[in-house]
Amino acid sequence: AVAVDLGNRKLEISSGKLARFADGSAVVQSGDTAVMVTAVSKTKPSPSQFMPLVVDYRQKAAAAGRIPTNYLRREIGTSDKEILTSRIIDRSIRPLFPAGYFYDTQVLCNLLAVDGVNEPDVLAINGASVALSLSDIPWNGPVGAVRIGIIDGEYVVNPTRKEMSSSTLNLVVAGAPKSQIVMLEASAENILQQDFCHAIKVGVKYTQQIIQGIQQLVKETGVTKRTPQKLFTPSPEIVKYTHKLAMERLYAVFTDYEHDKVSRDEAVNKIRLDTEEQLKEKFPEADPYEIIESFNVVAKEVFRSIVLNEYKRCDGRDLTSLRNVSCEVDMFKTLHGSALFQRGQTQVLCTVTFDSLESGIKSDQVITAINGIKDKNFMLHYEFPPYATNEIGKVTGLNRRELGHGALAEKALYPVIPRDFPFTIRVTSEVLESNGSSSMASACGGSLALMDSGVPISSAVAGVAIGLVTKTDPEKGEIEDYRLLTDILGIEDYNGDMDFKIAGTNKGITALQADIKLPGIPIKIVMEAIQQASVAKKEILQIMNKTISKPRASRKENGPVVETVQVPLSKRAKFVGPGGYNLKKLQAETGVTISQVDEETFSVFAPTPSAMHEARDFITEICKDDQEQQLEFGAVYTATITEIRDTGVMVKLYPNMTAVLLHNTQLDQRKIKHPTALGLEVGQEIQVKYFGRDPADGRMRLSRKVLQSPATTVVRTLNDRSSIVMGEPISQSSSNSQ
Amino acid sequence: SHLLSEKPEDKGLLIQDAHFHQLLCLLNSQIASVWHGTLSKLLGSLYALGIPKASKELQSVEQEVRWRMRKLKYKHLAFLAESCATLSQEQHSQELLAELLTHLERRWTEIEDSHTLVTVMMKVGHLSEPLMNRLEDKCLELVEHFGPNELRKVLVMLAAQSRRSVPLLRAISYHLVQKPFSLTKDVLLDVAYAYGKLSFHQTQVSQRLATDLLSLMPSLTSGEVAHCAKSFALLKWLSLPLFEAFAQHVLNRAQDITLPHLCSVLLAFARLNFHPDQEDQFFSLVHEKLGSELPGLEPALQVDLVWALCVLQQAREAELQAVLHPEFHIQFLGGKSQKDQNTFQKLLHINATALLEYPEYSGPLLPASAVAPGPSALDRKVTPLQKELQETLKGLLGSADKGSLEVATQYGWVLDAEVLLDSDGEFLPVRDFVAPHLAQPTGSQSPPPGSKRLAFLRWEFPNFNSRSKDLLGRFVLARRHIVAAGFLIVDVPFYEWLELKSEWQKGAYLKDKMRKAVAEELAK
Repeated sequence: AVAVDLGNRKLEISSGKLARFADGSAVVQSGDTAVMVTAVSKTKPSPSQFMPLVVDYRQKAAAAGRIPTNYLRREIGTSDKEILTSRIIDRSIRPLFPAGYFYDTQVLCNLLAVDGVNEPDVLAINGASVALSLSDIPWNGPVGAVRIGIIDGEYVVNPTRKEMSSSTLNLVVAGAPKSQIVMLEASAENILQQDFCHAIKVGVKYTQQIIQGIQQLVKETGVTKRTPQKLFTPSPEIVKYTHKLAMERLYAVFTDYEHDKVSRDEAVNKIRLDTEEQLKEKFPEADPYEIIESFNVVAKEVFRSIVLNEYKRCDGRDLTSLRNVSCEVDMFKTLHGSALFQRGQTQVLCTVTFDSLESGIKSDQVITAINGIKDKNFMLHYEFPPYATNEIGKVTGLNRRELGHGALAEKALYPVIPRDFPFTIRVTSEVLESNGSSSMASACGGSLALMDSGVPISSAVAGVAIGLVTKTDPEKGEIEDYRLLTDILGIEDYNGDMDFKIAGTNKGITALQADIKLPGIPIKIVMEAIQQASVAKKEILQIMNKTISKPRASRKENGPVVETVQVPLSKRAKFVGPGGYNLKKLQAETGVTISQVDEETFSVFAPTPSAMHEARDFITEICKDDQEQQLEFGAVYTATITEIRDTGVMVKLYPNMTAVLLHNTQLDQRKIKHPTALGLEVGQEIQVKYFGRDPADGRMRLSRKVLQSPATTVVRTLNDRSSIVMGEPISQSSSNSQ
Repeated sequence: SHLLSEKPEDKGLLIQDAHFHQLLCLLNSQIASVWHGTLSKLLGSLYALGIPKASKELQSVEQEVRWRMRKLKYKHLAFLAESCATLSQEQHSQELLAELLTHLERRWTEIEDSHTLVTVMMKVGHLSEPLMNRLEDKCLELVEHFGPNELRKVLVMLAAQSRRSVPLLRAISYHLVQKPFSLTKDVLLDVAYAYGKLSFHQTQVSQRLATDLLSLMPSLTSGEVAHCAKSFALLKWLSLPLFEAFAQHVLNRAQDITLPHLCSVLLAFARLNFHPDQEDQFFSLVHEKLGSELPGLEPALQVDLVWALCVLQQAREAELQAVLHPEFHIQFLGGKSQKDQNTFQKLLHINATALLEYPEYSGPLLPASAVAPGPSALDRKVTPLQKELQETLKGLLGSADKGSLEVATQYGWVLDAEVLLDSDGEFLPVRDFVAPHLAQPTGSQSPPPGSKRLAFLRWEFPNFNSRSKDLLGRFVLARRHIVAAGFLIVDVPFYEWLELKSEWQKGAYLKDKMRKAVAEELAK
């Protein structure tokens, strides 16, 4: 066991007690939060032709001392939080597997205990690092991971959940030995670039302490790595021959700047088919994988050498240029907000939909205890249909990649959403065409759509992706030269070493994600990438501002409306209807939802103004009888008996009014036990005097008794608040209603 | 002749001797029967004795030599030429020498053995350019038969004459490396000296010299170490084990090493920017030896030594003050000779060290008139790299006010270019803002926050240590000063620039380097 001090917090790493059959197993604990991670890898190659790594991070209700609330009382499915955390862990460890290691590998992260104070996700990354380091699975770690927050200007490592609630930054850094960075993930309250850079440096510094602790544990344990049966890298001989066959033709394609994604892919595929055919003739005994991979190696090498040596990209741009950007808003009238954002051949359609506050996401109590996530009234959902890349595929369901991309774009926009907006906001982002950076295009499109919808966001948000091509010194194994590419194409992501996404406003950064394929990059490359992205981001914001530079002053006329209704206590039962019948009927007929605000006030939410009109008519109809009559205090009315009860008689003052109880005590000067004692009958008319309504329960106060007495006194007439009146609508929406 | 060599001071007496006169008369009467070799030696002896030209015996011998020139062997001719050149300065002997040289030039193909060739090259070669060219050609033929001593002699001769005959040097290098000679200390030292003097950089020879000398280190004297260090410094060859051995040698003989030898080692270290492992001990010794003796040294040497200490970041305030004192530096102000100007340049560098690297330095400093760059600061031949770089920069900057080319600073260094970037990486009009590095700045505004000043520095092949990408000490000092003055540096080494094929690539290269320089700063 090893303890690592991180600022004023301690991280405890242990192994050898739990899950000892696994290739690698570790428990990482901070405070009373503990995570167990296991790593298992097959010893026979996988039929797949890539690194088949699966990372699963599972939250258990038991870890928080809870029982699940669903019917089965078991954890079912995976939550967004679990999927996103699994992806972060994957991105932190995947780059350090040796090239060509194609053996099924599974890393499972189990929450053993959650104290509600210390966050378990960063512990899970460290746990995966320990489990892999202590296992005999070939892996070139360890990595260390920390979270950095900024609270009241102070940089805090691994802040508590409470501290995080007031932090302006949520940065997770995974570092490798020698102060290298393997993974970054961050959301920020629009913080300045230099503060952001400083946080990264602080984070990297602490990751080195964790790494040293793990290295010490590995040394004490005495780990020997297994030798894989085979590493799937193509043979140099085949690569060399492929180079001779294909290099010049590939160079011609990659330097023909007239190509677009489709024509370039077609041209490369033609060369591929020709080359693979010739390779099969030349090397008949070679594994098909080697043939395919040899071509890939050569194509990648040619592509990269053009960037490295000629400072030119396959579409003719220089290293820092953006593709053509076009923006369009207000695409369709029925939408609450919409925008089309196009950057090169990446096209994203974003919509905004408003709904009632009650329709926001509500987490299960147990998930809340584990995650600490509360209600959510802003969400962004990202969809990537197969046609975006001219493919056929499954449309239903949500895949992990879409979830990850959507979460990143949502984080980019969240800090600029007003906190007191009266509606729940859902942004959808559908990728119609994709050639690189669709998640960042979603941030741009989402920003435009929000402005179009009239949400008073504090600032426009843009995002951009930065790519990296490195040249490695073969002897030292270090990066000896590199180029950063602004606004990468899909092929530049595929052939490059990094996909660095950064989003923010003119002032600062709101979201960042670094997906790095190398086993680590130095801080200075990250600094340069942030600098380069900031310049590009400002450029994009200028272009976006030409289309719409600030939120519309009003929402679309087809947008939702919120009004309040004042319902006196006496009318509430009638208003709601038996068992809520009237409210449900209203919702079913018009889509309007009504929720109670206080004793006499109801909030009416209508998705469209026309729905509100319908609802208003319906409500008026329900309460019409009370609208037409104005009873005077102290006045005498002729009432008709509609029912005789033991406690009194039910009378109507007017035919369309609801019957009101006239109690036995008010029927006569004499004490009456039953109305029949006076010979009263249904249908008989009697004289009654009106004394307003009971302040306690709103019931009418009537009396026949006072009319029987010879000494009747005249009572002063007063007006009473006794009618249902529609309240004034919210000022924001009244202009929309006009 | 034998008698003369034993007691040269007695030659006056010898001339007066009656028996000597008798001997001369006898020789004269039988001159025709004297052998070729004997005749050559006879003439040499007569010149050595200073026999007056009016002597009929001397005239007779000279005439005989002239008659026999066609018949004398080449080595005899060589011997005679050497005698004429070294033993007599009279007109008659010089006339004979001219004739001898003509014959030597025409009959060079007769040379058959290494010894004669080497002797001729050493003794006579410098007297005639055509002859020397011929001899070098012959040398190329015979070099494969040379032993270590012949190779050594040829090298020393070339060095003494400052003849940089690349084909011959290459051939000698080849044989030095290929043949399994066992080289003695003297040979190694002479070879190192010759290569250093001639600035002939040959990797394998330098490697071999360093390796062999390292094993001989215990037997070297301080003088030999000093010369050796100087030779390798001239060669720009930094062999870390060898130089560590030099430093160790100095420390081992701390008590008795002389100041001149210590100075040679120090200057060599500075030239190559070598920092010994036992830096503290070494420089303590340097300061101790130098402390009281510095003022007594020749002024230019004082400047050189303090400059060397600045390069190695070991100068003390008192040492800076000593050379920056007005009474000292006044002698170099306005100096016209190349040597004075070089020394003055070093004073500027020392002044810059005091200004930029010694926050508490309170003076004295060079006067303002001295640090203002003179017209000669920019008066250098423009190299192809420099011209191309300037053209690319002009294209990059767009307008002339966005940057300055060829910026002469008050620190004695010239920047190839200077730009000022705002926080977004856009060029600002560089001369609108205060510029402390200029002796006569033109701007008065403070640079905006987040802005960065970049200096472009071009590094050509001669600026580097041999076979490496490490800069020589002088240029390390330049870089350090410019960084201390607040610049981020964009290095443009020749080996990177040569890789760029188009104007586009050159522009993209510079932009990329600028971004990397800024990122380097952000990463600190």
